[in-house]
Amino acid sequence: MGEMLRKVLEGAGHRLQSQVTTYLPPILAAAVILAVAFAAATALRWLIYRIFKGLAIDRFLRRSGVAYVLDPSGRLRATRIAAETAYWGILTGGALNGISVFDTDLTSRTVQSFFVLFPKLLLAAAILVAGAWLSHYLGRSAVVWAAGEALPAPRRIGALVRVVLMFAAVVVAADHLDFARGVFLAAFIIVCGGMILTASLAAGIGAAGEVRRLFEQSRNGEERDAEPVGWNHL
Amino acid sequence: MGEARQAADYLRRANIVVGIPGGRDAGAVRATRHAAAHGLWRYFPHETAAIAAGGADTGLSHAGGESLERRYPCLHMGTRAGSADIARSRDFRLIFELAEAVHARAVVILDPESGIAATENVEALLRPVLLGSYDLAAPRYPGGPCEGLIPALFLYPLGRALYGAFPRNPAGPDFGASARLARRLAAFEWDTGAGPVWPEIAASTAAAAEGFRVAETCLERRPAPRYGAREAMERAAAASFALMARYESVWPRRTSGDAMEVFGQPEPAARGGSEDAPAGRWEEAFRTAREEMGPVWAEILDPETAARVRGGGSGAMWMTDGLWARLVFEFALAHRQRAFTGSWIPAAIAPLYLARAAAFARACEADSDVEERIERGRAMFEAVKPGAAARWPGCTAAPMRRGFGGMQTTED
Repeated sequence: MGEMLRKVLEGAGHRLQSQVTTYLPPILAAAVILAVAFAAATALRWLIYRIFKGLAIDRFLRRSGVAYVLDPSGRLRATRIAAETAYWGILTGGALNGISVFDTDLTSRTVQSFFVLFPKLLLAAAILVAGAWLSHYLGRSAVVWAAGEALPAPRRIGALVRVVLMFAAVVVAADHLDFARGVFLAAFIIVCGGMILTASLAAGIGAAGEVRRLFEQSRNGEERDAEPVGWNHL
Repeated sequence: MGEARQAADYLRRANIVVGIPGGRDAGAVRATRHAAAHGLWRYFPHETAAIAAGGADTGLSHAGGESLERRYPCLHMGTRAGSADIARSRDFRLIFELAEAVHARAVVILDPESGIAATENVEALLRPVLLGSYDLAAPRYPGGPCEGLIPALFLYPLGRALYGAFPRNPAGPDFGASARLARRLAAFEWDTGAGPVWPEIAASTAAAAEGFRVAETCLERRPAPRYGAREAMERAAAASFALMARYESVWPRRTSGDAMEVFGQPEPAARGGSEDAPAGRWEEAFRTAREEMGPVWAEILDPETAARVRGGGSGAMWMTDGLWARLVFEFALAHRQRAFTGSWIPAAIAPLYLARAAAFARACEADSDVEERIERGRAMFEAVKPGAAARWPGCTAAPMRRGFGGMQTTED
């Protein structure tokens, strides 16, 4: 009995030793790689914050309105974008290197998949940013237009424009990534079609008179914000 | 220039060119043409002249008719494709090209839609140019204490602070121009990229910014408004901001000019408020807009300015001269910074203008001097300008500390 127990313990020890000698070195190597990547990323971020100005990029971000999409205060700077991109790029590279140290099927597939998907992910991200930019611009225009035309709830109109456009961008990105493309597309068509049908029914049944009056006003060139007779802002 | 040359071949030479741009209302164009011909015959009988009128026929052609019109040949500029704004700006360019081609000494622009077909306007607008050697004769209108508020509260103080000599009614549809200014305006780029700029404002701004001699001349009646309050303010802001960007190498260095010479006897603005000024209605319109447009303004304005707009009371008296001047410059800066996507910004200032107009009308009710109030507003614009110039992209004017806080006014 004692002999058997000893053999079991010895077997367990051997197995444990084998596991430790198999996995601990790669774990230590991965940790070292990650630590080095973290140090390099932090150092590079610090350096970029100090030496990179990117004034031309800042100007482009402001002129195009992208700065206000990514940061509503509009204070987003190219320096920050470059520094954070470098930081997370190096960290991601370190993580992938660390994973590849294990040299298993799973880790190899993960790393391989990442490099296959990376360009697609980049393009999908660009599509989403472009969608956000367009929805922001048209959403703001819709709010201002609706307020100027004295329509009810201008902010909701603006929000609706943003949501629809952002939804369209998500559908395009999902299609590009081949990720549940049918689901997103069907949802988009159902939602937009439903909204248009609802709006048409509401306008036709509930507000036909008002719509007709607005069209007639427009045709007759009447000013909706006409001032009292004799009043002249110009 | 081809059409203008063709017309010049027919006319050969005219000392005066009368331009009647736009004009989709054929009756109004005809009435303005008659008034112009009578004005020329009555006040400038020894001068050769031609009239270029918009609308009516297609293409540029000459027309005979009554004896006066035979004496002053009329060139129809035709009905032009595109929006009314595009057609109008094309007419302006053609009129000035024609004036250059026939070596005219003076050009007078008469608006057929202003509802005024006064022969006296021809004389009033040409006299400063022909006899006073001025390059631009801008109109000066009579009116109640609170009429013409967009020029008084926005265009005039902003233009005066930016360019020095600037007329009180830069958007006035009737004005006179010298041959020198006509030559410049013939080559002027009327399109800002976001659409045609308001031609009258562009002409006044070009004259003031490029150092032409500007005078004002008193006309008897204020023309009928072309737009409602919101649309007028939006268009005026779009034109002013676009021109600020175009002349950004000029205005940061320009110092304030003196008041300009006025031909005729200007009617002093009456003291006290205008009984029919719908200040309450404007306040209500602003309050409604404030609930909805808060986030939009927050994106344009500095946090401090946005907070003051957000925290303003139910009336409009919180909209002081200083706050209004800061608002205008912050809007202009935001418009300049977002060159590609800022087309909605001028429209967003319209509700704020209504608050400013209401505050002004309320202040005038307190029996104060209207002219003095307008000048006080202008002084605030001049006080804010250095701070705005310091933040303007690419501006190399003397640096100031960041923010419009750089301007200090006794009011703030």
